Amino acid sequence: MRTTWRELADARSALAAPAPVTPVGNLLIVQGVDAESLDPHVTTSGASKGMMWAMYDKLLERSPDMKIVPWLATSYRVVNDTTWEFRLRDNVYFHNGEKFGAEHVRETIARFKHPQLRNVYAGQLRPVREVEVVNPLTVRIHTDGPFALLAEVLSLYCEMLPRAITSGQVDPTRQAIGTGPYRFTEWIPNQRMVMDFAPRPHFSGQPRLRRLVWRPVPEAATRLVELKTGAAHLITPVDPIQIPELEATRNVAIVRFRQLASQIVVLNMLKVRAFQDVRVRQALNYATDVDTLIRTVMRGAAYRLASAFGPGIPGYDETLRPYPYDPERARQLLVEAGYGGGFDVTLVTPEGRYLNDRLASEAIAGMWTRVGVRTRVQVMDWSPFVQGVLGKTHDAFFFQQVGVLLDATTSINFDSDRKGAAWQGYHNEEANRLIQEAPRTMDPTRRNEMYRRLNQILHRDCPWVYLWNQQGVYALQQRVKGWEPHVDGIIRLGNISLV
Amino acid sequence: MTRFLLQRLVHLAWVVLAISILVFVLIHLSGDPIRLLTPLDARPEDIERVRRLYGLDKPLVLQYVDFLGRAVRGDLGESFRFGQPAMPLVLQRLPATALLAASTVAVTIAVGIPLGAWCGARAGSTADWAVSVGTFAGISLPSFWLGVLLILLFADRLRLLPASGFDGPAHLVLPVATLSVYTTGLIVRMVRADVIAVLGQEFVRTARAKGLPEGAVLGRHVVRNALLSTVTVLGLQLGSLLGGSVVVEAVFAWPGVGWLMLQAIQTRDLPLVRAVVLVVGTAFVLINLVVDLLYAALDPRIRYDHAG
Repeated sequence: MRTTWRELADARSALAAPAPVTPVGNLLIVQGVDAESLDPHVTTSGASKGMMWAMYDKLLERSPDMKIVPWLATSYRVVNDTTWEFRLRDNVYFHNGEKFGAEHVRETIARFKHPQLRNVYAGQLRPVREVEVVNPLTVRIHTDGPFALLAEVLSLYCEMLPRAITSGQVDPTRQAIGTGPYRFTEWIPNQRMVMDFAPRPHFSGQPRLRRLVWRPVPEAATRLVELKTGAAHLITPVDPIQIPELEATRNVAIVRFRQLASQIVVLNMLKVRAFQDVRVRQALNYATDVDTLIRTVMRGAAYRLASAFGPGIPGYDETLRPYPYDPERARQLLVEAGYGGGFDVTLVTPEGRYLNDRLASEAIAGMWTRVGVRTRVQVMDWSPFVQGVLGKTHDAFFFQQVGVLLDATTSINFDSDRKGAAWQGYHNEEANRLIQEAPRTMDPTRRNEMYRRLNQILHRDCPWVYLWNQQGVYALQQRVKGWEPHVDGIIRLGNISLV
Repeated sequence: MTRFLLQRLVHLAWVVLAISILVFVLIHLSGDPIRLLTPLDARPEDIERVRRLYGLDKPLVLQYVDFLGRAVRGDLGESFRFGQPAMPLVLQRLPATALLAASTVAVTIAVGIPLGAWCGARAGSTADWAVSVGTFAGISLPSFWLGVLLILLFADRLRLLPASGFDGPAHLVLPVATLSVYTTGLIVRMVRADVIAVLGQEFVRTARAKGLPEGAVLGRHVVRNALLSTVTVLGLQLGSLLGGSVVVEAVFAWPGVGWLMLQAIQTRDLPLVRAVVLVVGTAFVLINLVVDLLYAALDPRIRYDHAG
């Protein structure tokens, strides 16, 4: 591992020799929201990232099932605990004609971390101390201490920018200049973002489309009609309630996938004394009839979750079984914990933020009340809801934890030393140790084993009531070919084309 | 007249100042903006750094003084989301909203006033009764529901009109129809009631006694006298339409001020929220001023010369 090059498993081996294709057709994509900005280092939403990644490339990319694949970097190796070496792809040009190389990596990372940039993800690359240009197509990244997540971070963040942008000549909030398959044409916020195929063929073999038009349409019913009438080729998100109608529509295909985000109920152990007892937390997992919830409330559009993280996330353990629905066992555990007489809890939920949030919370409250935990549902606006999560003032709350298992995700939830944003009083020494050690463990096999162990501990300790991964749904016209969804819900166009 | 105008403009300045304080305080009451602006998985040090960059680390009073100092020079700050000055962003969206509002008011006047007068003149008839039921329905239907219904009918079933967007006159039809159903219903009821009231007055009997044809009586005497309160209501409607028909703009993805405001509030884009509210508030007050001036034109008895 240490000295050998890690040639990445290439999901699309045909990448190397792009077949000459003539780009044809305008693809119309309708999403629920518009980009927040044209600056790829400032945008945060998945909808924006999909738009950015049509124009910009990162050093590494993810396959549809979230494996890291080569992109602007063709390979990398870990030289020692604090040094990584990346080989860069040759013959890649920015849309303004600059040839991509090692200097661009150095300057882009410097910009990504610049304290004056309003980049809320700058901390993801905080351990990077220096980017050393070895030769025009090789960089070494030196870190403060072992930073095992570097490749993970570079496959999700830090789009590579030309010198025109990093030097400040071009304002990236007004013009996008990347190396991606499509180049920027125009953005009229809340109307459309237009991209045209880049004249130089992209290293991934794209593009096959002449033009991309991205439009935001906030209302789900309107998006559906746009697809049915041909004013959109691809729409997202699709509410599961719309699926039967789509299935009955000719020339429309539905693409479903298991999302990464975990839908859960977080139990606040700081506020509710009873939750400090692991038996009470387990009892609530036994008391929650998740299968019925998925069948009724979610209309089948969800996948049961056994522990904190589902498939696609490092450390997912397929041997873990969900807590079965067993109200008898729940009552018994409550008695053992000394809460045979029950107790009162307020379950807080936003409304309309997550799919069927209020409905699910009301059903869960009924199930808990049946085993003696008298639960009242309180519906809150998003803003006070978030304040309560951060202030740790809700007894329990219906929540969605966005999935990718980078160090940040675990520390905001489970680390009682760091007491992060969504941490609500959980404490386990071994979990803390794993959360601190895993991101510093350079060997990916060992690191994964540590995350697996963490997931097992969380399964037993259940700081949350585990519910489901939602089903992500796209609807597209059957004319759209060669497209696959990624489980993180961000659109990568791949070899998409129109027939 | 000049004095009246000056007085009203001073009022306008006070109103705008009051709006600015209100919007400042209210938005901060509803929670820490930076925590809603940043994702939950952002690190605390990043959040604090960005908070300083946005100037949200200072005490609220200082933030307001700072804001006011720049606002008098026409600078309402940079939108957090777009990284661009907030004021031009709002002004860019204003034409789309103004087009929607003006078209709606035009349809309302063209349909509402004649229909209201017609009903008023034959109050109690079956036709009047039928129109009344229709206008009641128009006023009561939620615009969200009606908008989606019209999309399903005219865009999906009949394929006559585009469902959403802003790309030419055809795109205007459904949102204007959705908005007009309410405003027209309102105006028909106003005009009808006023016409009935005016018809009972002495000068109408005089006009009829002079032998004027009924159409002329209605057109020249009755409707003109009945229009005063209608102008007020139309002005208020125009004002609230300019404030962005938030729901209708969102349903039809109409790139106007209302949808912008909705996004700004959802993303806690404070400078943008403030800019939208100030622009819309100012427009509202100005429209009211115009309505007052129209009174004088419609009713010669109203004069603004005597300071009162």
